[in-house]
Amino acid sequence: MTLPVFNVAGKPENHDCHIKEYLTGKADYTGDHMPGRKLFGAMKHATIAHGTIKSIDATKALNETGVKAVITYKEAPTVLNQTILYWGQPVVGIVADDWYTACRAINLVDVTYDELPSITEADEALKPGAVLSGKREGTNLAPASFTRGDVDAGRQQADIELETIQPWTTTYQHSPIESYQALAWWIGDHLYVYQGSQNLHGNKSAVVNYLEMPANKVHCFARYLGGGHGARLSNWESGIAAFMSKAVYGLPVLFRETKKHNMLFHIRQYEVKSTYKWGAKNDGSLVYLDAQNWVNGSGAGMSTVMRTTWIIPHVKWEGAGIYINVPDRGSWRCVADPPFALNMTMAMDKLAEKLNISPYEIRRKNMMPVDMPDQDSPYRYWGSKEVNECFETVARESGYTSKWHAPGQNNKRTDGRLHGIGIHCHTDSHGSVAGTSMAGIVLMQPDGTALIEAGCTKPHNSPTMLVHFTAETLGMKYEDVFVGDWGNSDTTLNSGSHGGSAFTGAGGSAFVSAARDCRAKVFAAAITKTPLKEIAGITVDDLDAKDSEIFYKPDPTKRITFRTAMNGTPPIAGYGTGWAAAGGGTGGGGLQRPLFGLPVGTAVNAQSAAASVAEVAVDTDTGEVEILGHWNATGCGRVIFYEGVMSQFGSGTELQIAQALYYGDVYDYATGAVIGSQFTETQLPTTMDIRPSRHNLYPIEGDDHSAPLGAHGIGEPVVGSYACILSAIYNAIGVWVDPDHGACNPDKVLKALGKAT
Amino acid sequence: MSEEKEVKKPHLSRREFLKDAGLIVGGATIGSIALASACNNDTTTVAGNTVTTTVTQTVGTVTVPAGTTTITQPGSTSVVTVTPDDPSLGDKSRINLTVNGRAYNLTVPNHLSLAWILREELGLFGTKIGCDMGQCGACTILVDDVAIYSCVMLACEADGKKVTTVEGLSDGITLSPIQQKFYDKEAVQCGYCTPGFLMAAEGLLKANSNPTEDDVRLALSGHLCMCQNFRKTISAVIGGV
Ligand code: FES
Ligand code: FES
Repeated sequence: MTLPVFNVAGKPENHDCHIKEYLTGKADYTGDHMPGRKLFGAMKHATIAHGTIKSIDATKALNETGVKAVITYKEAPTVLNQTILYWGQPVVGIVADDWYTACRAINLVDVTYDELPSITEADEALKPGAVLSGKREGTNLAPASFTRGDVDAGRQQADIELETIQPWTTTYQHSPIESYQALAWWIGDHLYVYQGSQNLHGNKSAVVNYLEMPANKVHCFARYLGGGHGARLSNWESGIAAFMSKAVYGLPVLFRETKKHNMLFHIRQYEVKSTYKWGAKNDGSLVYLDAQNWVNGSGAGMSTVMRTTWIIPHVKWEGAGIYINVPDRGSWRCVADPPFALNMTMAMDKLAEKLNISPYEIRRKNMMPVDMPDQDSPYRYWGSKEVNECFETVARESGYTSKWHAPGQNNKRTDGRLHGIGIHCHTDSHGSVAGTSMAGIVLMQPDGTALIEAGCTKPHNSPTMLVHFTAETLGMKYEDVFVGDWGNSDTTLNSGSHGGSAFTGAGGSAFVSAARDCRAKVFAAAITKTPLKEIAGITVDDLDAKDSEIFYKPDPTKRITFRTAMNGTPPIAGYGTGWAAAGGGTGGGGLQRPLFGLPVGTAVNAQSAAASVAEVAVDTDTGEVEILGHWNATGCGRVIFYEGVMSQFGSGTELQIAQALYYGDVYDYATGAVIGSQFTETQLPTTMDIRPSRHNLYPIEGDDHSAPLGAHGIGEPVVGSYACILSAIYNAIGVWVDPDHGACNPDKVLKALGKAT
Repeated sequence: MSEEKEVKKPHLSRREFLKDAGLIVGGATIGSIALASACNNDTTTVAGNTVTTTVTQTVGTVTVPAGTTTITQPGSTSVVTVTPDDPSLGDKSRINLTVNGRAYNLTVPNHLSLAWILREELGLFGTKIGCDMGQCGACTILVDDVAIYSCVMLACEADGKKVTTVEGLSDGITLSPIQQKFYDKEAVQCGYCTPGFLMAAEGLLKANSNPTEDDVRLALSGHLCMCQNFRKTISAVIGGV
């Protein structure tokens, strides 16, 4: 395939346009404002899993020097609750001169409770007569299902059947280095809130509701946010900060979670437990899948990986989200897919073994072929080309087929450790279309430079990607396009949630559309200026632009600069919208409005794909796993900003290692409390766990007609590829390690080997 | 072996526990992490000039009398002696320090960390607060050219020190060599941990201008990055890949 040649986009010299802010300390996160002029807020959290607050006595706290105010569910009824649904739920807020005084005063508040029976283990919720958590009306479960074909008919066609039970997958907490925080202050009856949210305008809507205020009196800001993508949609902190500020007569209050509490009740990835009944032909082709899946804490993304990667004619997919008295679970980077991808890979490897073929062969046999449309909707297509190419790339580069051996067989290395290799691939439901891309503004200034204005936060790569898109579409030099106002709800349109990798999938299409609109308007101004105005019958359709000059296509010597075109012209704003909310991701009818010249109803891309191979050495005495080699490929559509792609992509591959081998929460199942509430206890990997030379990254380019300049998000699916590491451990030791809600640490490896309990 | 240190400040906070956690960034932080973790679940009461800190995990109970103060960390060999230099200041101390080449004379509350004073008093927000307990490295700065966690160093201890924060690495327009390496490699994701990594790398390069990959991995190992971009960060510092 020949890909279109760009003038600006993808050129390495067009570097990250705001990275210097990170490197010089100028990037302003939520807490980096108002030195010496703000108060600080901290939160006390519930010490029961289920019940009601009976009394709150804050007298001692209020007598403490430096304590300014206390807020409870009475003062802040929309953000604090008298009903307690999990251990760690916020109950009382303290405002003080400094944060340490606020934290200390928390211990001086006495809260008593009327306790109710609680349910803190997901498996208990599946039993008849289970205690109700109170999170959902009359039930702990939120069922979901998906059907394709007729599983009973598939059963008749199967030569081989296998039932596998996949135990609870890894959970991992998503406490970013920057704790969740929000800064609020009042001026008269106007409220100002700063929170690094992935969704600026969504945050504003939430604050409007929390405070029950008119929208025109709420002003929200979000510039930088410190990690936690996928889970940074929380807006509760803004509400708390607003109520805290209200309690101190509008003075600025920075509410910040302690690291411990941030870990306790902010989002952690949910766990999934599955039962798969497979049927296959002797040649390895799948004929049916009858699956049940339980999701601890959420019902999202139940079937995506299964539906988008494999040809399975007959499917019955049932499951339920389980809501118990523990902190809510939710999406994380790679959203819903990693736990499902993990279970699918492990189950598929087991089936391959029964069929006496390799994990590579069963995937090769059943992967959706290149350009195969969606099996269920004509309005959606998936990255079948990308997933095939990713899969073949990592298999080839790693030498997978020559290195693979029967699990646990003939694989002792000279150092006594066991060798293993695992492979994984999947396509999943995001990275391309977030479904929420709203609007962008491109503003052409009288001096012939352009500004982009986005109603979103300003995280890694996003401005750079949007400048690439905008400059390319306008026909301007990269250095003539600037990031203008950003993350200000008063001056920007709602650009939607920052999702889909560096805004490519979300806001990207809106800004390409806005740049097209702006360009048409500037061209209309240009044909009124010399020399273009002298050309008889000239219309805007006769013009094109490159390197910040507008030229007459039939005679390119007739040209003017954007600056000249704008001479004497007021600023010109171009507006654009991207995906319709109801369109992309779900494929519900295809495009809901024309985009990039594509008509309504066009089938849209809803995918991003990745494949990985891991090669490991397992020490059966210590349970230690060493990654010897790690090969990763991810589909990118077009690579627009190479170093940014490699940064996003590379970090996804490292997250695989974290999920497979390090992350782990420790729960007290009696209370639902998370014990591993500190970074040190969550066992995060460090630089000691990564050897750059062992990580091989292959960005796979293709074209995607429904994505901005053909580029879609990257970095997410590769996170879900951590299954390859578990598969490699199995290949080494011949026994599957039970993740048991966490990563495959040495204890679990030894347990699988029967050397530990 | 027991060790004694003298600090010319009155002391009214459990944070004095972190006194000797000196917290040189890198592999040497393990002990300090354990100490800071232990201090996370404590209670502190202040009565007059006496602070009682009860640590509910592993450290024990410590009572700090007025005047000369001796704090012993059970389970460790470090003893810290604190002598008030100006009782009229109450629970504050006067310090002179140089930050990014500029001299400051400050009166600081004794319970506040150096990170806090840099941020909230001097407005140097490039130094980030992550865990605020010596675990993540986001707050790393150079004190007398050595990388330390500034969240677990009391500001009153910085008297007479030379402090460099990320803002002091360059003029903010022309990048310093280490900033340029991060720039070239796009060794950033959300950027929140980045100032800490930069300062640790700067500290390493001051001590070892030609580090190996393993030197870099070790020197940066006291830093957490939840976005995880270690491959690029390590590569940036060694200037390879
Ligand atoms: S080590 Fe200081 S903020 Fe984490
Ligand atoms: S880049 Fe986000 S925490 Fe390191």
